[in-house]
Amino acid sequence: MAEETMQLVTYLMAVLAGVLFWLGFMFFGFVAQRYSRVFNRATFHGILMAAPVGILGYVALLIIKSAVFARNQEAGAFLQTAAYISLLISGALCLAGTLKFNGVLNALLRDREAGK
Amino acid sequence: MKYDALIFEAGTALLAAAVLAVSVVMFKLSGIIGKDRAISIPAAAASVFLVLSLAAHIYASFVILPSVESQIKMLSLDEVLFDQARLSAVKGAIAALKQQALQLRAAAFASLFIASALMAFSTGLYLRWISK
Repeated sequence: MAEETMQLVTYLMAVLAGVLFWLGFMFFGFVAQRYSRVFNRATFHGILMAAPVGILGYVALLIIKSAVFARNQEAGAFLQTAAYISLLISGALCLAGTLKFNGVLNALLRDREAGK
Repeated sequence: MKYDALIFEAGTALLAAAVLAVSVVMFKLSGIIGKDRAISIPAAAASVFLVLSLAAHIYASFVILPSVESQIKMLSLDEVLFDQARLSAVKGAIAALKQQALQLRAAAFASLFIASALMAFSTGLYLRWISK
């Protein structure tokens, strides 16, 4: 595969991966929201639905970098760092939200076992 | 540049941990609604793909790129610059390393893409189950 084609495919995969991760965590946030309503407990679905926005930010910054600042290396490097920081923050928040939801779920399952 | 790579790798590692935690939660949630617990497998596989992506990125950033840099430095040495055989050998090595870096980068992002598709499939399917 030619170098330019390979770079384009790699770039497209990065963008699609970002969008799919955002979608995946949004679905998970909706699941947590449903459980929040059913069990009347905070499942931290707000964090779960807000956290993946950083992944979309990562994708948007990568697109801007390649489409607008392709020839400006300084601006491109800055945007790339911003994109990576956005991914880092988002990853940390996704982990925190998921662990919080897991904690709530553990408590619910314990209560259920105790009620039997 | 290495600083950038470290931030990206830390972000990917956190994402891998988050996706693994999602898999554990999905396992418990599927038990609650009495559905097949295998729904957690795609999410667990996604975290494995994320780790593979991370490994490829680390190898490219910390092994291949420094090798390219050292080969480029050799191009400025007089004993290489004025020796045609050594010059073409160094140029060949740089081209091969660059190609390897490009392939590893493509593999890393392909793994990232597969992981994201698996994660979206797993959580999307569960949401569909509880939406019926």
